[in-house]
Amino acid sequence: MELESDAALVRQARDGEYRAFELLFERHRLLVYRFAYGMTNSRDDAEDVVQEAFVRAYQNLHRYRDEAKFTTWILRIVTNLCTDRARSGNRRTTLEQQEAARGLDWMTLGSPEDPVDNLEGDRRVDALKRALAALPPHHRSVIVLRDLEGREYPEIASVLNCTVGGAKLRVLRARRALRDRVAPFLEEASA
Amino acid sequence: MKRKDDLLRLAFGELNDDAARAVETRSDDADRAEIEAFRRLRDDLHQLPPPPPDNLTAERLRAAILDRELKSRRPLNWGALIMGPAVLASLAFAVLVPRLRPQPEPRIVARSEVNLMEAQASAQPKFDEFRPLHSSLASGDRVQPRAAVPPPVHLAERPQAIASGVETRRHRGHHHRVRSEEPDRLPFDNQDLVTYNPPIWDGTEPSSSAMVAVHEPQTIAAPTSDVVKAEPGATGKTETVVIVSTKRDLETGAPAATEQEASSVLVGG
Repeated sequence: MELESDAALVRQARDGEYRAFELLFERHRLLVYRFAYGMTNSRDDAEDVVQEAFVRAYQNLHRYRDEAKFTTWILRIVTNLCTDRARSGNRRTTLEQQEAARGLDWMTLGSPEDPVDNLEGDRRVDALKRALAALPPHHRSVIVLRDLEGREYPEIASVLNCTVGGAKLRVLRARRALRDRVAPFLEEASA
Repeated sequence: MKRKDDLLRLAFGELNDDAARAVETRSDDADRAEIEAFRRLRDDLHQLPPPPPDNLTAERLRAAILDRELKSRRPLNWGALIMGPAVLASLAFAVLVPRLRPQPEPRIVARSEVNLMEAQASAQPKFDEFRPLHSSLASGDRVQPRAAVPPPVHLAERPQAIASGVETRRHRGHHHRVRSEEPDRLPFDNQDLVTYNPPIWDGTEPSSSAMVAVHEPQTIAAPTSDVVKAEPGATGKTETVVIVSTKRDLETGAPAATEQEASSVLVGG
């Protein structure tokens, strides 16, 4: 039903009804934003990516294939945009921003209820965020899609434009790479 | 490798019950430690904080789309922006420079004076100088053939056009011979000079700024009533005619010509 609704809205938008495209935006804005935030770890960057993705989607409605899901199509656009941003060096700036933010977060880690446990948990989360930001885009995207957003492998395969088996294999490799990256940050945090 | 992949899938809960039981059965302590590490990683991922609220609105999107549409419909033609002024400047330069270049005034000399001009090239008078005509030409009598030709003169004013009845032609490098009853007679020779009484200028613009070219003998009609025989000194003003030669002045490149008093020139053949 939802697939048909999205397809109908796309057809209406393609015929010139801009309001139909606005409905698509309102329906999938949060999903796309969450994915973009997971890729960029910055609200401003995520908003720019989401806006750019929907602008490109509007300009290329004539290229949208009705048999594909609109979410799959828009998430693929976001993936390509985030990959381009990473190549252009914007990611370095994001890491610098993260370093500055981590310095502030360290002062606020822990809670009055169980400061030690919460501090340890926060440090692990902080280490994981840093490790996730350090992953290359093709690993980070599948971690966000599968482990953060809970997308199924067929949809992940559609976004990545690969087979389901290939999507599963990429997820496995990304998790292994994340585990290898988080260990040094955990040792640094416990030191 | 498949065994390690199974450990990871088991840690993330992606194995069915039977496959999970089989992996746990054959796992050793190292495998269990790795399973535990991956399970902790999965829990940490689930504990990541949600993203902060976004500020995306439909209005922002609409403005962005409109801005993109406008930019895409009016592409900035850098080539035209750069080449356009350069092309215009080149055209302006090509048009204005020739006009700004001072045009030399035509020097009027007699045709037979070409050789004399070559000899006197270094002593050419300036354009603003005026030299009187030769006295023999100013007498009003018919010019004798092979008579002494006055030196080249320069006009202080534009020569006046000759009224109808006289055929005028401009010779600009055309080397055609004028038809004549005497084949050996060349155009603009002194033999062609005849007495001519031009009409009084009535104030209208001449039909052409012609210099008189006597190149075809013809009979001049009797002057009409509005034509007054101009006697030298009769009105206190002397009218001049210019006789153009086919030869060109070596200095200026203009057709060589000579200025004669109208009263002393007859057009005919």
